[in-house]
Amino acid sequence: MRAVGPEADPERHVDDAALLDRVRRGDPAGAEGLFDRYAGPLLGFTERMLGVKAEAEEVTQDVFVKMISRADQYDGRASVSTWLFAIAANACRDRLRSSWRTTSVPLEGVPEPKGTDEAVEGGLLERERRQLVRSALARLTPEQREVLVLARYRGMPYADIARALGISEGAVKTRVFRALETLKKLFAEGGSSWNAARS
Amino acid sequence: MECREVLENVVARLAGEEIGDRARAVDEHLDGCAACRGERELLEASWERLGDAAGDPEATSRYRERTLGRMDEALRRSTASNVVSLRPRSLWRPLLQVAALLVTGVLGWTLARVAAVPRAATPVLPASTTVALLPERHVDVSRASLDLSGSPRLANVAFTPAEAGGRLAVSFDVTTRYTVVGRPDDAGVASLLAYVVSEGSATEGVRGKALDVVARELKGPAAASPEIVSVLAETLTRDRNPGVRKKAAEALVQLPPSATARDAFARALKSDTNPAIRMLAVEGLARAATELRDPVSIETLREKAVDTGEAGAVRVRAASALRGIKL
Repeated sequence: MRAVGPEADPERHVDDAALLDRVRRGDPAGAEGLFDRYAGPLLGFTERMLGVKAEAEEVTQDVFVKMISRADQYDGRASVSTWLFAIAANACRDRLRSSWRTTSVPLEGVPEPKGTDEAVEGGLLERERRQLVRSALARLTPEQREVLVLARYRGMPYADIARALGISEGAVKTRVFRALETLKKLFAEGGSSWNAARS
Repeated sequence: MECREVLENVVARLAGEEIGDRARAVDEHLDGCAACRGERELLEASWERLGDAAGDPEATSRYRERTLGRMDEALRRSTASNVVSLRPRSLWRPLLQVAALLVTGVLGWTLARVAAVPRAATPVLPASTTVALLPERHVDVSRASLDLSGSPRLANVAFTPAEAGGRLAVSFDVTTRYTVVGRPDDAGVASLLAYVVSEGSATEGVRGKALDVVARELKGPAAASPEIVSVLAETLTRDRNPGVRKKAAEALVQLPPSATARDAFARALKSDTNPAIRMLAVEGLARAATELRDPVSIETLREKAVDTGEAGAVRVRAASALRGIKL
């Protein structure tokens, strides 16, 4: 498989279903195209779900491998991206079940900001803001977290989330609401540190 | 409608869901229930605090290489598993295959009859489009145009920055995934970006990203289509999310000044509750004052510079903008 950067990708405007079709035919360019398109969003999802960068990277890798082994099962009823996030959500649930994770979330792997004092200060505040958000997300139940992350960060409609997770739209609506209710209380509790991080 | 149901709908709206018939009941309840209004503000603030997908990590080159290696192996395995085994066939297999064909045929005939019952068509996008969006997933706006008048809700929106040839791509899901490509100053791209920015088209996170693309890619007179200016002005003055309003102001301030932009900045400076947005409004008005020699902008800035009810930083910015205006 070629190891070129996304900028050199001549397939950037080919649609996802066509890329997946190439995967089905054993064409590495299809797999590579989908990786370049979805590695960032899937890493974002798994990191927010699991809270640990190393685990998120491992699970995301598994998602891409499963994408290949299950390419024949994709039936086109949902978009390829919804299908990929469904695989990722399952993988995260499996990982959370198997590791008996607690609510504490290590937050390693955030790069130190470089540059002027102002940029460093801005970077540190942004880093602190993200840490607080991730700590708050970690306090949600996995079921609430997955719907909230898909709705907030991926902009996925409730109907697609329901399809991806195999639950009803009503359940999605209730879970997103409960998740935000919980976060609202958490943000209120951690008021001063939160405000310091975002001012 | 119960308070709980109202707030569930408030959150659904934040997530960009259409709440249809319930909207009126929700708004009426909110008008008459101070507790729910307070709760709505807190929920909106929490939603905003979560940030957006801009914080997504990027795959490092090492991670990319490692993962592509594993994917390569998996591809080889899956290709190998497609090799047909050449074992001798048992006598039963052809008989079972014939039986399976018969069953499939009967089922197919039954299904075909059921499917033949006419149903109301429910196109996601209107049929009056120049491009039939459903079959054509890859749309080049230099050769075709989009019709978004059906207000489809776009999901999983992704923006690919402009390539060497100056063309950018916007991909999204409706019922299938589309990728629309073209130069930022192509009318089709500008219209699509304007549509994504407009309220109700997608989630706030996506709209924020679209505003970033507008600010980055659409600069100069050629790119400042009236459609873009109008949607940015509308977003700046009407959107309920301060983060989205701020991004709209940032994008608008980079475009050549116009009367529409000036009016939006003047309105934001007078009534927006967020001081960061008012600061941007001062910048926009200062540009309009200098480049359009616009007395309304100068007067608005002058009023603001001496407005004792205004935050100190905004007053100072207005005063220094007035000093810097070259007429």
